Amino acid sequence: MPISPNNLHYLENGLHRHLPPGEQQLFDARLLTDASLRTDAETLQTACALVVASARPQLRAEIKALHAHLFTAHEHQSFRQKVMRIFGRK
Amino acid sequence: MHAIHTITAQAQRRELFTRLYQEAFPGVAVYIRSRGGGYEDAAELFQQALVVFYERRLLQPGLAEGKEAAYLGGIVRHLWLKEAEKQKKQRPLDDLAHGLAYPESETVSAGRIEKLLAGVGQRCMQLLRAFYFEQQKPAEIAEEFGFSGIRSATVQKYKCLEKVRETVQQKQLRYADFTE
Repeated sequence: MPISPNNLHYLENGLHRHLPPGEQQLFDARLLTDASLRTDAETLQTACALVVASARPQLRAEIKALHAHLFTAHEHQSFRQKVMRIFGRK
Repeated sequence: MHAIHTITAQAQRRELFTRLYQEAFPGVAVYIRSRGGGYEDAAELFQQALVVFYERRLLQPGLAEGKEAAYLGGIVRHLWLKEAEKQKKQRPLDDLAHGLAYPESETVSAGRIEKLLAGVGQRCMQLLRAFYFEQQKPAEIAEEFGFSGIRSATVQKYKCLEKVRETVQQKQLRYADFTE
């Protein structure tokens, strides 16, 4: 079943515990008892995970570039030496 | 304007990852060394762990706040044991002393993710990444994407997210398919 923008907003706020206290308690209780709400919550969380995962190649590339920098740049020489000593390398 | 916010977010990630490297990588190196692994193993596993950690933190804000180094160490240990177990089944035990060989990714490939999201549209994906990956403020997003205000940007975000959610439902995807 499609979910309206307002209901998605409510669902997301409930999952991130951003609802006002009374509403949050009600949301938590509904999540335990309402199977349909639970399914909606699961598909929403999966959708967010999919969006985040779509940026993974960019994230990997950024980390790889940083690693190369940390292990070659003069300013990080002492860090590099500290790690290389652990592996018995210079 | 889009480029400025993206560069700022990227610079913040670089700062965070640099700090995490300095705090956690030496400990990870000691662990991997004690298990017979080499520098390349430690480097590969640490990079994988950073991806896992960062993605989890985007989905659960505040995760492992102040305990990032220990959390990262835990992920590395898990990845090492998982990989060692898998390769033990495929290779003679002696070979493990020469380190492990790693697949590009344990979870769904980038190509499959791209294919799954093809129907969502490029602009929608840019908008969703701005919210969920770059963690930009709604006001910045509204300005960048040319919305009349925060409300319009937020409504559009949920319309786009609903498209992704429909894909999740249709393909019966699970949360664990995209998280390690």
